[in-house]
Amino acid sequence: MSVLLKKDWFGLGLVLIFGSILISLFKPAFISPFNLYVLMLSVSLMLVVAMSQMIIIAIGQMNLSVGAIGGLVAISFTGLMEVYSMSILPAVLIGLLIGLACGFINGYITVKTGISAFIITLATLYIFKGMNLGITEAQPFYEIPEAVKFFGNAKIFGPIPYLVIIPIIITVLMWILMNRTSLGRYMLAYGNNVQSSELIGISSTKIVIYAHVISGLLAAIGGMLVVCRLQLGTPNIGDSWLLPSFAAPVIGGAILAGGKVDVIATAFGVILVSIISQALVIFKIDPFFVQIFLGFMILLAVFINRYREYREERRTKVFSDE
Amino acid sequence: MGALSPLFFMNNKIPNFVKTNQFGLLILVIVFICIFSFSTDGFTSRFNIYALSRVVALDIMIGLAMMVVILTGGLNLSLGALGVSAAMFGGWCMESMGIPISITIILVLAFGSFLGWINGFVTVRTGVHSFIVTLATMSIYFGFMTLLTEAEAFRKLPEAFTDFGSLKLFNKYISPLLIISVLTCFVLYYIFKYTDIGRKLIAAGANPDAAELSGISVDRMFIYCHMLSGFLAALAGIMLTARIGAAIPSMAGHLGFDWLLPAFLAPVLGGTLLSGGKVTVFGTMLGAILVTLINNGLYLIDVGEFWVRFFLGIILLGAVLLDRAREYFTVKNSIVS
Amino acid sequence: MSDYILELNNITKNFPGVKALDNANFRLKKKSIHALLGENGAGKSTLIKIITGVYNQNEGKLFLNNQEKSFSSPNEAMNAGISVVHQERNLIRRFSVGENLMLTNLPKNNLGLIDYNTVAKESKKWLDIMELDIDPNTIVSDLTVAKMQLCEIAKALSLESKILLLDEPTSSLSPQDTKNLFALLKRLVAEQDVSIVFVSHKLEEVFEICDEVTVLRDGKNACESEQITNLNRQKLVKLMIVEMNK
Repeated sequence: MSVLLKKDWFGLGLVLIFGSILISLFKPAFISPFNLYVLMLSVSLMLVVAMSQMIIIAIGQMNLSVGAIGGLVAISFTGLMEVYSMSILPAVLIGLLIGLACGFINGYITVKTGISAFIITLATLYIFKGMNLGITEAQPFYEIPEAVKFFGNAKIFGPIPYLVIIPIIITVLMWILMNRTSLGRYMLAYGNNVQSSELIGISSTKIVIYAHVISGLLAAIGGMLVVCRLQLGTPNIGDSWLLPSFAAPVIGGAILAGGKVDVIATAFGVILVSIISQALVIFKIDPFFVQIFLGFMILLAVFINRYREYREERRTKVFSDE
Repeated sequence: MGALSPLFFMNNKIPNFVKTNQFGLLILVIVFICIFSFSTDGFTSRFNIYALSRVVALDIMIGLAMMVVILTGGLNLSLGALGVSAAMFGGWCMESMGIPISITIILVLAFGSFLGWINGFVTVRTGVHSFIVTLATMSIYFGFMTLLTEAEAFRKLPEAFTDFGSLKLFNKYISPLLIISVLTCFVLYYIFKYTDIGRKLIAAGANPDAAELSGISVDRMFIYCHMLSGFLAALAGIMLTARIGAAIPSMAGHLGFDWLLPAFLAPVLGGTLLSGGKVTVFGTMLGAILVTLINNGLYLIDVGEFWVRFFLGIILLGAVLLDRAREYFTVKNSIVS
Repeated sequence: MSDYILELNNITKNFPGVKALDNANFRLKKKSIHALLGENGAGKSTLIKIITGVYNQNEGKLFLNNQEKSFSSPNEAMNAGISVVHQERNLIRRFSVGENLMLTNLPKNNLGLIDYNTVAKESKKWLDIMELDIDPNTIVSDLTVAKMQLCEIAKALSLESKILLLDEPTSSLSPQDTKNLFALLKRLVAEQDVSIVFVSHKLEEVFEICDEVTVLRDGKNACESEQITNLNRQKLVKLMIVEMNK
């Protein structure tokens, strides 16, 4: 028990629980089964998107095209089932393949040309989004198999939706990747210190491509999960992903992991952002406030991280003679 | 890299200007204009050229707004949100408060500079890269703007203002908005080439350490760049409002995203190095013209409005790859590496 | 000749517009601590970069254990047994000491997942050799500068490096830390068959710990493998800043 108490997330988890109880005192609807259900759905969907960005932040880069990839896969997934009457499984596999390909393009160009991932993914953002619009001509696809709709909206028991299963599995897998496999450790090492990593023989090419491919896959999964939830494939899926995809890892990381990239911290960030968004809705505060709030939180988080780095640098310079 | 090998033969006999990126752009622009004039009816019509001049005016302005931040080695993702926020502020001044146009314009430009200052200040003080800072401020500015205006547009702006936006000069070919943009180019060119502050800004961007050592406050210079970016973005916002005839919250897209691609593409095509330290004012102008032409051209050859974004993304990718290749070759051939 | 573990003979290195090294020589005897000195721009860092595989020389040959070698990357030099300890730390700060030491060769369990218990155990071995009292599970960023540097040396050892290049190693260390470092270096040379190249501008330290000195001036040797016992501070300074007489 004493070990549990020492962990940061335990304390903060308590804060979250107490905060939620507090909110529910004012608005009992907050802990109603329905609201919890909605909350869990929101967390599920955001979790996958946040992981997609997190792995790129881990290697020290940014992926602006997460939403565009998610949207492209979403409409492809639905389109294949509606237009070509494809059954679910092959459609899912092709969706994953598209995500993989998009991620591969991002990673390959980034590492082979040395151009910053920010710019490459800005261009691919337009390219993938453009393909999305070109294919759909801004019209959604409606025809979706019942099984898909069921998966997106049914509950296992109580308020827990089926939809949580996949994000939870993904979170566990990501944790194993980043904490127990060499690939994951090398990614973190690369993000921490590119030169050092190359010196020890870590292949930049391998790391960057693998990271972007995984990011693309996760974005693809995110897109398909949204389709399940919405029960249709609209071209604007993914448009609003960019800010939350950064907010969760950055804010969570700042609070829980000393500013470092961390799977549990990212999950925490997702839960935090979701609870705040839900609370704002329940209190009938304008949803645009969420955006402003997220923006501020990111700035704050980043500022705190820099301050931490600064403190650390000063400490290690203590014995300098110069 | 076959396309670039002719450069190796050109080294000694041909004047320097010809080898510059600007010249290549000029050729491209002329080529495109010729192609479009001959292959599509209506390209050279008064109607089309006038319409183009209004779009080019805006693209040049937002390209310049991004360019001055690229000078610092950074990026300003918030320029769309900033410009629209400033424009909405102007709409409120003119319509709800009845403030005279000329004063409103001054207020709007000041407001834009202020928002730009926030970007610069946070970037410099926290040491965080400007793209993260402006990613956050983009949401903050757009969010506040939407909140305060309740997403309502200002459609009853003073006639004098909206008339200016639809004014037609030079035998109905050119919009005065284009004149404003081109004039701005000249002013900026002058500032960066001949004034003390301009040289300092460039020095700070090109080699911050050396600049710091020679007494230039790099932090302050970077803040000035961000302020200038905000100023230009606000100016673009005013121009867009005049052109549309109303101040609409969504006129630059969600979070101002619509402006980002042209704002980025114009300087990059124009030869502004993404690593910072270099400005190419007329290059950016030509780049903006090229972007507009390509956009217009794609539209005219019936590519379908939905695929335009795709092609622009490809062009952006091509442009940065070319920028990279250009850097690589200049380093290989230079006397001092 | 077989005394030398590392030999650089008649090295010339050109850059556009400047000759960084001009027919320079550097010979490192086995189990010795050899100082490499010179003003800024004298060619020291270029020489180091050639040894560590960052650059290739334009003329001249490099011999490692009497075999001619040419490194095409720092990674190759590292695999050949040459390690550098820079001023900028090369450790991954968010990882533990143990993980840093074992990073190139992380021990795995049956499932292919990293076995952190073994990481701690194996790395402890290297820490013990250096008589460093550091818990391998400590996160690097929690260490003091001095300990970080010692860990870097431990890491070099764990890679079975026989040649250690220390570039201004004491610039962030207190006098006590410096003493500990020097005691460690001497022990490494004696017990682990390590040979050390010591780059520093602090001449007192050179006299304290080095056996031989090579001074570079304008890309050429001002002196080469001179016994430290034949020199004093005055002579050394003269070598570094006075023009060489042909």
